[in-house]
Amino acid sequence: MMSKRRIISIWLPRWPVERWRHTHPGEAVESLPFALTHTMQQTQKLYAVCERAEAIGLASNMTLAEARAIYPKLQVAPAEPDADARALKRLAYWLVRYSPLVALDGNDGVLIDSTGCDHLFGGETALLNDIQSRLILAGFRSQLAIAETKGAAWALARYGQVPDGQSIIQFGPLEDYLGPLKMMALRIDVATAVTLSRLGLKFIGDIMHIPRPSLAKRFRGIATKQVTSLLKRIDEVFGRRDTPIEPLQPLPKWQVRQAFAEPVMDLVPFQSVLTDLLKDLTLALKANEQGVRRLSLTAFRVDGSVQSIMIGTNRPTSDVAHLNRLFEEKLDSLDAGFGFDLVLLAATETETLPPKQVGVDVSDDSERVAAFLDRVAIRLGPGAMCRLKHHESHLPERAQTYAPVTDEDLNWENFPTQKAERPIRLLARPEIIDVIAEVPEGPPMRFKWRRLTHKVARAEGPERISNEWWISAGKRTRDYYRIEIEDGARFWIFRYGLYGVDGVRRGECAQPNWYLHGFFA
Amino acid sequence: MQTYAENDNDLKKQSGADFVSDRALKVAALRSTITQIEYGVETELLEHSDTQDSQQTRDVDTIQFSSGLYHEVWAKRPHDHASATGVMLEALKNDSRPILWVIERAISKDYGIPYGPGLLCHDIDPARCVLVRTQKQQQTLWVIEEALKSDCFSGVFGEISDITLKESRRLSLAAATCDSVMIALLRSEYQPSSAAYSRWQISPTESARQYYAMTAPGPMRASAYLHKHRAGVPPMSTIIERPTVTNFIPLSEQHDEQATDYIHLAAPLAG
Repeated sequence: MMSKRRIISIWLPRWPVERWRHTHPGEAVESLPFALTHTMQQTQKLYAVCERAEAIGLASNMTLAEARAIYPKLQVAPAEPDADARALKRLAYWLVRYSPLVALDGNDGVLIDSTGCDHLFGGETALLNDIQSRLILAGFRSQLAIAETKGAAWALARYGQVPDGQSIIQFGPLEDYLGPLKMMALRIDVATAVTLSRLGLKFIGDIMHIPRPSLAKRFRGIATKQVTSLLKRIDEVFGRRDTPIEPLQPLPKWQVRQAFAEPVMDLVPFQSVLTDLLKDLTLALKANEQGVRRLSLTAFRVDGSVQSIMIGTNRPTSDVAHLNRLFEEKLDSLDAGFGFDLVLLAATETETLPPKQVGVDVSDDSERVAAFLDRVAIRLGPGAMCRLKHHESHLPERAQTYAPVTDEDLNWENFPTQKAERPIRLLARPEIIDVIAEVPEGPPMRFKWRRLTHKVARAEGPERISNEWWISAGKRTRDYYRIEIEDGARFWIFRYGLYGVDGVRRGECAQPNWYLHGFFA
Repeated sequence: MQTYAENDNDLKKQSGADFVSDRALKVAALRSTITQIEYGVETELLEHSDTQDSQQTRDVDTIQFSSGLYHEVWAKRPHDHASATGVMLEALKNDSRPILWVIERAISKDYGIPYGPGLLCHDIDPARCVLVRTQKQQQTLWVIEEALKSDCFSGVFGEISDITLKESRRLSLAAATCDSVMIALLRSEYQPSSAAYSRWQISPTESARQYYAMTAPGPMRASAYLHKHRAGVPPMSTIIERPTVTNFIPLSEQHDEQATDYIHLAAPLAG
């Protein structure tokens, strides 16, 4: 037995046109018919039409030439399907204020799983009224329906003839509500609907009481795609088959919310509300032995836009002061505009955090390090911090890599100790130097680095490091020298390549270059 | 009269000199009092004078970077930077707590990044190091201050190119609240005015000859000059030297283990 759910289907019948008008104010006269066009197979066709255009017989997919023949003064503009899709997605994010489970429904609709949320808004009728009135304020007309199944809500929102654009199917048999609707409300394709119409089945009520074998017989007893699809749709609409909705964002396990009676424009009261929300959330998490790893704060502005902040921690925590401080770093990025009217705080990632023994100070360095690193990550980004990790490689620059600060396996215990001395600092990219040597393959006598010439007092080498041919073929051998200049500074330089003599492979024979790679203390 | 006048002038000069001397003594006494209040250290009334510089040769451990104080290590020339890094690391080799190393990206591009195998040579476990790379100095200073306030690192190293009196004062106040060793590696041509507790100028010096490899560079050797010390230690210079490099063997002793890649002669053998 499936649990009773409540799904809201919002249909925006004039979405492309109204969105275009919203983003291009004053560019089309409201009192005249207007249509958006697009090009299909080198023909300009109507993409969407306004109400006035529809009233005079224009419809989408009609060619522009036909439309002009009907109404020569038709106002047209190119359609923007990508912008429509982006705007619909933004609208869907805004609707997260009603429930965390929100999904896009085609190009002109949104689905909300409002199970257990309606009481926050004073019931289902109040909830639908609130959604619709806010959409009207933003300039979008809508038809809404709430039902137990996605299919039923979808059918009722689009095909239910309701004057105020709202339909509510109470718990109970769906047949009474769906029976009078046209067959297309089952979300079947046009061909199937035409076939059913020829069979005398024009409304959903006509098909509800026909036994399945009998229905299949009407399609000549063959389990065609048409029959299978039809039966699947019927099952979906009547709740005999589960139809999960794919939410835009993962459903948070823990979420708290605060609605404001008046829009909040100042961030100071906002911060105190945030502290209260954090207290509520951490209290609930503590009760379940959970700690926060990732938190998202979503603030809804009165103008319909949504702003969000995300913070993360290196280890699970329920420390309100610490979390508050992390949010403080990012609160400045919020632009209240005309004010926020709702704020949601969701723990999108949690981990087990066993309770600590009361009266025992268990705070250790690692906890304080983690808290410090959280603060740095919030301000500078997680990429700013790293730890040094050993990678088993002969090449000096590959022998050290960088690991996230949470990485504990840094592998330095496997670093071979019986090696020649290595520099304390290594250049990320070796710098080319000009070198004078007594003999071509000998250590340098002088070298010029960053426009200064240094005389070499002592040198040791070469330490030959060959290329790792299994990774990057074609690279040359390096001869490393540890050198000390006259004033005592010590460098790690290398000759890249070997001089061309017999026995040396061809790739090594190009003129060798000298590079400075590191500095000894 | 002339003699009297000369004597009179001498008297005036004498009284002026006394006045300057009194003032200097008062300033020195005040400095001593402030030092005693801030650090609880009894200091001698010593005036800054180059004649009092002493040349000593010391082991590295004798340069103390006390925790809870803000120290500066100054690298005047570009190739002093690595020596200064080595001296800085010596302060923390006997600890096991993590080290925070804050580097501005521009500095790491010019002078390299800490290299794990090299740190092992200096008895520092690279796994202790947490590296923070910043875009600008303001971020570097913020990270250092936060690290000091969190008091969870054995040492906080910051590599900076310049610092103002106000910024250094903030750091010294933050350092006073924690138990970490705070050292700023200052790479600058000139010494800025700062509130550091001590400032050592580090520069490399010729290393000692090795018995078995006379032409090879020896272990780390650097000269350190104490420019300022708020506990009244007079300016002095010292030589810092690491006796050996731990766990690493010189190349001259490794030849038996190395595989020969290409064997060839610069000139054909005679006869």
